[in-house]
Amino acid sequence: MDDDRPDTGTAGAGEEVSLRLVILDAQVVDADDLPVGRVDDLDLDVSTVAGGGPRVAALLVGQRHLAPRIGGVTGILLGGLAHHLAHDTGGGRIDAARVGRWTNMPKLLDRLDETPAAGLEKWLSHHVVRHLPGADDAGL
Amino acid sequence: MRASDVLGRSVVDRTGEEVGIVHDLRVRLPRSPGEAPVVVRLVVGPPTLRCRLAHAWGYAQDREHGPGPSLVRLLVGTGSGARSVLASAVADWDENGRVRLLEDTP
Repeated sequence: MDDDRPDTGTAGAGEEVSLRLVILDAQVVDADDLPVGRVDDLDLDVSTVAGGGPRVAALLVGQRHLAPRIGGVTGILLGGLAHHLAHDTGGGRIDAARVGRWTNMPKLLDRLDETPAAGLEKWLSHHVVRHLPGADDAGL
Repeated sequence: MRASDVLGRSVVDRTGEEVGIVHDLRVRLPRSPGEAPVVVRLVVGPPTLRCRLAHAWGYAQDREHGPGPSLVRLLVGTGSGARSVLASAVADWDENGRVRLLEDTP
């Protein structure tokens, strides 16, 4: 790996970075910089070979995508819990075309309410967090 | 295919000889919003604990330098043994759960 420069997480457009260190598990924010979740996995389109390799087709956000990475009993329990709690319609899949920035916290082009991901985060926001004292001040 | 499916996957050359496992994927960032990153290289190395930790913790990518020189030397002192393989050299990303290359062992 002598030809690799250090991955700082702030690489610019056209640069080459480590998917594992810079994108995977990174905090995702919406267009207003509100947290959406983390990059729990990435969907790679291996049917395309643009630039020599597969294209990143989507960000996968949410416990249901994290569960298979954890595996074992913990992964099964986490996946089952996410399935019961998540009321999302998009399955935690954010199309790569809706991402405006990929490093230093991937930033979406859409607002949290408009994104198909973050089902559990939305559910918690509506059913738990907004009922907490002081939630009104947080603009929820 | 998920990225987590590729990471840790066994890599074989054209003849079926095992080259190593995928420790990381190198992607080229898009030049404008709305475009997608493209995987340009695979980091392939031996399936040793040392190599796994070096890549998982960022030592192999020169991202971590602490907490002490001994740990750095332990993980990457003589090289993690990994090498880059161009993504264009991949013949099949999922051949019976393995990545198969176009050529013999690079």
